[in-house]
Amino acid sequence: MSTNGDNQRQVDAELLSRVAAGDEDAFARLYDRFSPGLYSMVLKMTGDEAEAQDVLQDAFSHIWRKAMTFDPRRSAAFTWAVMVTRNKCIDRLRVRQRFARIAEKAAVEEQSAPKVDDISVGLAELNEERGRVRAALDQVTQDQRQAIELAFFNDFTHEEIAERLSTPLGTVKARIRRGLLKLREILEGQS
Amino acid sequence: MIDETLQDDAGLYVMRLLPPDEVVAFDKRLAADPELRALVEQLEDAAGHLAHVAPTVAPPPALKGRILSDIRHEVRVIPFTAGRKLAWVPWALAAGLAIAATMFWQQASIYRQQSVAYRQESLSYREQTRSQETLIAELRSRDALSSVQIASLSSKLATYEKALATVVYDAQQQRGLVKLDRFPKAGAEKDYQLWIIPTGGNPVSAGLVPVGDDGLARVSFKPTQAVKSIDAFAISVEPAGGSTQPRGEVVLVGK
Repeated sequence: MSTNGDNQRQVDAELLSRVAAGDEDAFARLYDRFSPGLYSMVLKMTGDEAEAQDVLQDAFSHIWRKAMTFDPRRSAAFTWAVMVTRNKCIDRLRVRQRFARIAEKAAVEEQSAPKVDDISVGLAELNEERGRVRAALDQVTQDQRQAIELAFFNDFTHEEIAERLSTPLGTVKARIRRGLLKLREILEGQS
Repeated sequence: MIDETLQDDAGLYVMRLLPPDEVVAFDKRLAADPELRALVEQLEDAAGHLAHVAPTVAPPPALKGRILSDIRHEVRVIPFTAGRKLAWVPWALAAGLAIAATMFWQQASIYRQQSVAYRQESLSYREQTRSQETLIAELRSRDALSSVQIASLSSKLATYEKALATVVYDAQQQRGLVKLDRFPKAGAEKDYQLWIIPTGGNPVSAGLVPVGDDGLARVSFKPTQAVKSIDAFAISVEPAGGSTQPRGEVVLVGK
């Protein structure tokens, strides 16, 4: 989750392994490190602060209970937490059948919510990481960027994404896969 | 080499865009194909970074407290992992079992005691209800030819489940007696009020029924107007001092 890559990854993995052993202090630290990024993602997905808080609560509860299933050889701790949280969010959106309405909402307006500047641990790193990912996304083709952002932050089906982009289904599938791999390649090249 | 369709499916899988039936098939394939697993891991890694694209917003500070409080109340099973030393395991298991057995034994003992107490309480209620019903039956048969009416009131409300109320009313004398047992307090600024519901008419107040701290009341009453034919008796919770017509919740009814 940061530019000094491996060290931060190591710290997160270490914290998560302590969480797996039932260490509440480690959990609190992990919350401080991950919650701004995860909350921002969920808020963008739901467009609703109360719902985003519920999702985050569910997700951290899952992280606490299932930390022992995290395998540091497979992914970074933050990536694992993102997948857990995003899955919780999608489950909730699907259950409530709210995504059709949410899809019409614009992205969360930045000025309507409190900014994180200097409130939590690691925020400078978070903002730095945001800039880095944004810059990497700018290097992905616009078609691919659109496809992966639509897929990641919404609960559309791939048919719906194809319809929105007025693009054949097969092309959309390929754009998502290629876009993700390209993004990864660019980010790896940067670090 | 993974074919291109499967690679595309891997992208959809990571984004949770695969239809549920295809997810099952993909999961099976994933379990058997290390190359596919590696691709999924790469795609997940990239997707994980996308979280940072969202405008940065801090969660409310109170949320952390809520989450920490939640996890403190959760029971979590920490599985055994192979890397740990094994020597203590049998002892820990034995100790755990011993503690669990003691706890279960204690708990079972508590449950047994509670069960006996509940059974006794239940028997006592049943006996009291039976004796009250016997008394009512006796009174009814004794006064079959008289103008005395005896009613046993009951409630469907959980709060009044155990409450007993009996009304004896002499239509000729236009007076009666009400006896309450196991009644909760009516509440601040509230009183119980007895009503006579005449056939085809509005309820007639039979006065307030003050209940003591012991849940008992025994009050003689005279309705505010003569009632000859009675459909039912009712008790309601009214504002302190009573009402001319029932306004509060009717808690017991009977005839």
